[in-house]
Amino acid sequence: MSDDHHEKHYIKIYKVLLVLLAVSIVGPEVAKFTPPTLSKYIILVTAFGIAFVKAYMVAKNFMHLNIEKPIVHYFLATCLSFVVLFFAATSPDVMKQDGSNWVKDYDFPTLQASCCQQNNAADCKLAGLQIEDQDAYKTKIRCVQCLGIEGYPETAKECKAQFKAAKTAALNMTKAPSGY
Amino acid sequence: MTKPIATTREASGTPTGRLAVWWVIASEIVIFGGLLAGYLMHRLGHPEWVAHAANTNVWIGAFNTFVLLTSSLSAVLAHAAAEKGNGPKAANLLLATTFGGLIFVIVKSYEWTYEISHGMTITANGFWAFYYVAAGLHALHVVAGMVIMIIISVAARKGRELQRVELIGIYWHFVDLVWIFLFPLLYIAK
Repeated sequence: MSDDHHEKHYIKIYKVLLVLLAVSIVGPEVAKFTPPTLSKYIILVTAFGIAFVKAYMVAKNFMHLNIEKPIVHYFLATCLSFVVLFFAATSPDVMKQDGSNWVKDYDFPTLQASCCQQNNAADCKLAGLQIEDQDAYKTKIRCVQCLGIEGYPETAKECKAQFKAAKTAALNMTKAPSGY
Repeated sequence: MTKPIATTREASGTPTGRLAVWWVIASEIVIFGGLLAGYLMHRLGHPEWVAHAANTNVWIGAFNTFVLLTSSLSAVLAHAAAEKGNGPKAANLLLATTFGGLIFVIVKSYEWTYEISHGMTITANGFWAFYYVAAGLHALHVVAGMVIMIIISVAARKGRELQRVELIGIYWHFVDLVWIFLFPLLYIAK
């Protein structure tokens, strides 16, 4: 391949990468208008599937890993396998609620109900939820975290509307009264 | 002036300098891989984090992805110029890559300033802790790459040590590659 061909090839790869970037942004936006079961797969493929394709293209065409000596592939693969081992060995402890001779004393729905209905600070903290606060921004996060619980809306859209109202009210409060 | 030994010898079939860069990347795979694996397992185990993740700005993340992809193109074109022995062109393209890194860091600073001023601090929640550590560690790598590129471009402009243009390029592409995964994990998954 001549030098000019090399440059043209790199620019072509760059253009493909930009198209893939656009798909990874548009995909999840489109997924918002599809049923939840379908949207999960659309996001998985368009965001994460495409991330792997982009990474492969960069490694192959820009880093020239495809023409590198096998020893480089071996130690990169070894390090990657350590990451997989780390995930496989520790993720059950984080993600599972119980196992052989152990139960995690962490019942999220109960903690969530206690936090959202009674604003129990200890339970909010344990569940990683936002404590009720006067700050308008925190009001929005708390509302989304308590969706579906008595006294809270069913959708995040309603939370957004509440957030806007709280923010406007907070702004009005900071303004000096007329004639002051 | 005698050349550094890394540019004149090779034992494995890969020049020692380039092999060293691959070793750096191998260790970075464990560092970033471990961090992202930790984030992934916690994110899957804490569905409530979605309320926090909903506050990251997709468009800012997408713009920074565009900037890094573009800077990767200039880095690989700098490599192509160095292969042809065109030092000044390689140096200019490396500086263009550095400029891309600068834009990335400026955008990141703006983004973080907004988030921190709105209560989204590193101690706010587990999500934000991972967000700042992962994106912060990545930004540190961007800054380190920029400094190294400026140093290499000075020599490259004089037509010296052109093999280093490829080495910093490999590192820069890896930094780009990490962001390719950080973008969907921190900005798109909501």
